[in-house]
Amino acid sequence: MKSSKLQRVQVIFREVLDDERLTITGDFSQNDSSDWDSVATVQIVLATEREFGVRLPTELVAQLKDVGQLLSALPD
Amino acid sequence: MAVAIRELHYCLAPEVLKDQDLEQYLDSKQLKTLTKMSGIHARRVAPVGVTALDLAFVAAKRLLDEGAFSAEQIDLLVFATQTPDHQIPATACELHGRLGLSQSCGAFDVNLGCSAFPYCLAIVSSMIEAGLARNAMLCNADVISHVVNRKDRSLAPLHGDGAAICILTKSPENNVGLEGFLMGTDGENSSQITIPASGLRQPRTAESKIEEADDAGSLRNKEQLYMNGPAVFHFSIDKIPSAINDYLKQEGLTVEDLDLVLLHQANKTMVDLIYRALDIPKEKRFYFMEMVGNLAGASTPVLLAEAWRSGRIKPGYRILLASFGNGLSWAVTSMVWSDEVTSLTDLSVEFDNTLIASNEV
Repeated sequence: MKSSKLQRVQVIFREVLDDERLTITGDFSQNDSSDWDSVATVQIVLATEREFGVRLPTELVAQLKDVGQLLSALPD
Repeated sequence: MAVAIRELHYCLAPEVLKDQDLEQYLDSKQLKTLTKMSGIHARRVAPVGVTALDLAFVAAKRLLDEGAFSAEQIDLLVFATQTPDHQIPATACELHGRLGLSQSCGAFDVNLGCSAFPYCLAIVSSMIEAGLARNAMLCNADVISHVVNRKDRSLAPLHGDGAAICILTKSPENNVGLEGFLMGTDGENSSQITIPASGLRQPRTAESKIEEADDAGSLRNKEQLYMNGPAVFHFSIDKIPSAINDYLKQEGLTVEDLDLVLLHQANKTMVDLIYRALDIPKEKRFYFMEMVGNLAGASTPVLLAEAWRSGRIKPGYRILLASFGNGLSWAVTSMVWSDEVTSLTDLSVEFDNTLIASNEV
């Protein structure tokens, strides 16, 4: 069964934030993890672009604070 | 006959800020993550009292004392910096005075950051081609560490301070010198790298000196540099490969025609992603940031000078330069290296305070 967008993004977040048991929702934000800093944002964006084969807008990257923003920019 | 670089030299700030030194200000785990990504593990920084002008003076004085050009021969001085000694007068005019250049020499500043070098090459070469100057001195210098908060983990681990000096003239040789230029700006994103209280839009007050923590816990006040790291990283790896491809197409060149590709040394991961996007083979890459830091406007010319000093450049090499940074701004150029470029490998690149003191006597 094809993984949902959220599941695929969760794999990325687990790797970048170094937490194999992390469970995210659309509301998961920088406030929920002290490891989600600017470096993590860059790593999350690069990994997401690779995983989904997309180029995210720089404006989104500039303001990325939660998973919901990321999900809304990705194709289904 | 094109305009070519005839001499170049640089000066690094005297103090070394190592990763261990930053651990007193920053969380060590997060510091380790950033330094791993940036590839920067030591930064040359200038103490209070040593400015971009001082670093440029030391490099320029050494060049004029040991190189092929005298102070009297320089008829144009351009100084690119965003950390000037004063808002008024232009730092170029102050350097002019300290070097004892002729009163018939024109001097002015260029206010651009990391993208400055190719822009300045375009300005200087145009003025020489127009007959407005014969022997131009170009200075790119910054002391960004003076405007970065040590507790700003997005910036403190990155930046170093330095100055680079080039002398340019029209070359008598055929097929050497500067080729074309490509410039670009994304002004809508100008706020992604800024010092908010640094001019007249937001004057400096008691409030602008108060440190505040951002969402990530980094501390800075409004008189210190702010950078939206993810946005700038994304802009760089998105914009610069396409700008370089546009430049190559404009000039009728391909990567095969290039012997060396030099990129602004912002961050090793970023630079490698740009190299990879363009399929630049490893033998055409060069780096100089690990032990000096991101030198802002001085980064690209220092990189070029170090490539020359270390023997990576030979006469006849075609070198492409791409610089990018606040503005958001970028520029690309290429040059064929002349065999008349003075070799100054024995000349020190270290700051020498005695040169400053003796100049002030």
